[in-house]
Amino acid sequence: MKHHKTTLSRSKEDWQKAQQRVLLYLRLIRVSPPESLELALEAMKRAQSMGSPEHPPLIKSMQALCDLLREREARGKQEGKGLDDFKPALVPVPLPLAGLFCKGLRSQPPFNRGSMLTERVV
Amino acid sequence: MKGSRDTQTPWFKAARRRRTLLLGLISVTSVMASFHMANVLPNRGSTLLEFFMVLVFAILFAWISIGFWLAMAGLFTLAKRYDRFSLILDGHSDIPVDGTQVRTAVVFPIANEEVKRVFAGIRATYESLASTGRIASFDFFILSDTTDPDKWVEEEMSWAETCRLLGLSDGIFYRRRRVNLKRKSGNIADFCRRWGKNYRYMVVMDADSVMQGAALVRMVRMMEQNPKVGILQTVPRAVNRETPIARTQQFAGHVYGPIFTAGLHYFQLGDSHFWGHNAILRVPPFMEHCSLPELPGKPPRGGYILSHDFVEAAFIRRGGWEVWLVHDLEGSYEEVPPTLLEEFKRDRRWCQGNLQHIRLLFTKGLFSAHRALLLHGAMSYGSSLLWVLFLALSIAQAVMEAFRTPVYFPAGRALFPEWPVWHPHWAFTLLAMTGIILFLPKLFSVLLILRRKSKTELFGGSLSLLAGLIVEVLFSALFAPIRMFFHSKFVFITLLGRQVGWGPQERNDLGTGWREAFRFHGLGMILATLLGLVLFMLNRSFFWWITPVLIPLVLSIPLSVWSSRASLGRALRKMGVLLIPEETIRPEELQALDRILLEEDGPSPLPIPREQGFIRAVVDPRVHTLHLCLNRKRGGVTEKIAHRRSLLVEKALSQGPAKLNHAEKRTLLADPECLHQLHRRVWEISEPALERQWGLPS
Repeated sequence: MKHHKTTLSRSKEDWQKAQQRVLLYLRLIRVSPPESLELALEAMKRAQSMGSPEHPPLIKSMQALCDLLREREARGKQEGKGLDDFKPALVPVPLPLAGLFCKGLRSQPPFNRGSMLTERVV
Repeated sequence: MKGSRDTQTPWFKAARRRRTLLLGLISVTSVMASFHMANVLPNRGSTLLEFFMVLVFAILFAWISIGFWLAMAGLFTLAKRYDRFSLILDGHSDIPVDGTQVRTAVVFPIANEEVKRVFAGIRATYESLASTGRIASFDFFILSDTTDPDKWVEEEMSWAETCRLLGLSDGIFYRRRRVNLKRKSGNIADFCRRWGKNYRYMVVMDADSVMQGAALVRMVRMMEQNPKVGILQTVPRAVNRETPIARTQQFAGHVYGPIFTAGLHYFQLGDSHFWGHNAILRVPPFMEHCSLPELPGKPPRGGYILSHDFVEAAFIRRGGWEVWLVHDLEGSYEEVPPTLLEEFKRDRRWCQGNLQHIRLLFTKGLFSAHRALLLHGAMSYGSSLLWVLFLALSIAQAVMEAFRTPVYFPAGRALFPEWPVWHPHWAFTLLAMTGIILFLPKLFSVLLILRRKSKTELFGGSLSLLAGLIVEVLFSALFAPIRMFFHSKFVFITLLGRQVGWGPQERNDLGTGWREAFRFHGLGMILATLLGLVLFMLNRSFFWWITPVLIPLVLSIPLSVWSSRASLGRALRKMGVLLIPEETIRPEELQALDRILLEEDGPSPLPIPREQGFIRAVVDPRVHTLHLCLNRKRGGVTEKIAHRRSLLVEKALSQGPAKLNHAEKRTLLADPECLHQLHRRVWEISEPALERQWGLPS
């Protein structure tokens, strides 16, 4: 009984930790509070409904959050809110936040290649 | 437009006449001084040892008299207030500098610098330029060769933040090179190959450079007005330092700099120096002529050319383009090394680079003025070895005099004996001549300032100015022997074939510790003490002559430490000593720099310091995304490499970031897939110790 209670309370702690981690991630990517609570709730629900009991709640919650953010980014692109001047093909990993943080930033202008031939030292 | 090697231009003919005059003046004064030197010696230079003493002395006196005659020419130029060869525009403001044709890139090549300071300087320069209304014709480029993984990420964050604060989507660009080929010159060449054709001009800055916007616009106008000019070099004024030794150099640069640089301009005209920063270059001829070769052989004498600026000037001039020094353009700033040891770190690099120039002296096609500049650069450090040689010969002479029995009747018949006699009055005359050569230019510089009350006030008034002169002369006298010792050591090491790394300089006023000072100065202190003891016992009169050299070396440890203390420098400033105009009336661009440096980062939910760039790139989703967006996808890697990298990820996750070395962090930062995997899995960590290491709240 005691072991069961301990397991339950640890499990509750694990889920609380997972929730805090998800909220922290959403806070870092500056999602507005109402939306971040919705996303966090959705992520926790998805995590709880996932199988794989061997995976701790933290892992399942973060994976669920990443899936949610990717879906959100895809929705944004469909609605025309995605990146125009950023080429996702150059980045090999799906970056759900690229549209959020890199839109409008251009680190290098287009190349206009020239040559510089090494001078002779005679 | 093509370059022209025309030697019949008015300026070239004037330069030839002036340089002939300079050679004549140097020769006459050196011969006179050498005669005096020979007369000082007991055998009047007739012995082998005395002959070599006189020979070395002649070379050294010629060397220091160059500075004297430069200063006299500078005094002449400044006093008459008109220079027919000056490139400074007066009222030619109708020359357009806008439009798609006249585009200028302002480039900041950096490598492992203090990121906050670099971007503060960039922002201050940008804001100053924006206030002129001409910003649309300029693009800024941060060209990074940074290898420190934390600074790499910090640069990216700072760049994005700078763009955000200035409301820019482009106009300030950031590029980090993966391979640091040919160091700084290769960095610039890489920029030219990628984007050089977009720009007519390129302004090269240093990591600590700041330039006034109006000065930048003026430089572009001058280049437009003078289409034969390939490089226009400004004279950056040293600012912003607090340590006594750096403040002395700032003061010297402000007080004596104008007279010496005016003199340089007087003799060089269109065959001038390029110092590698705070200068504007014409891009097409730079690309055509200034890709530097690798010297045959191994470093330090072979390999990449470290001091690339002198060589680039020589090569662009070889291509028929002029190189001018704009000695009277204000609004160009730099910072000097804050401590003696940082100065030596820089000097060791420059020494190696300048000595490499000896191998280019006989390169086909170079103008003789630039051959002379290359030799001058090598002699800047080689002269220290000659000073040591002269001292060694003098000591040998003094020791021999102590032990040798004089020969009063040399071989052959002689009616009267020959007395070997020291002539102290000749020695004092020689000392006076040397003193005049060294100190008169400084006195004239001060008098030039005192002539105008408004200028004197900028230095804190006449008393402050004179106090500064005394302190500067004292510092010069104290530190000259220490510099001589280290520079001759650098030359010796380079000639022996040992090379120097390209480590970054410490650019802030943190000070030198006692242990570090002992490590660097201990040998010099011990040698000077032993030499002093030996000479005191053997030849006491010579010992007193040489004390001005020995005492600073014996005291080099405390001198090095105390001169690096910013608190002492601030105390001097409070007393009004060593003041410079930028401290009396702060220019707007430097006020902007001060303001930007005081800005603090906003609060963050993650307790990860800004300087821990690698951890931020792994943990902070914004920084992580920015980093991945800036680092393009590369081709696939082999299975072996992929496996090694996956092991790195596991190591990072199981042992934490502290267990990764710089190379491992760089590997992860350069592989977007591995880094993203690490980012996702770090957020799944639940072990408290690892959470703390990664900056996650537990």
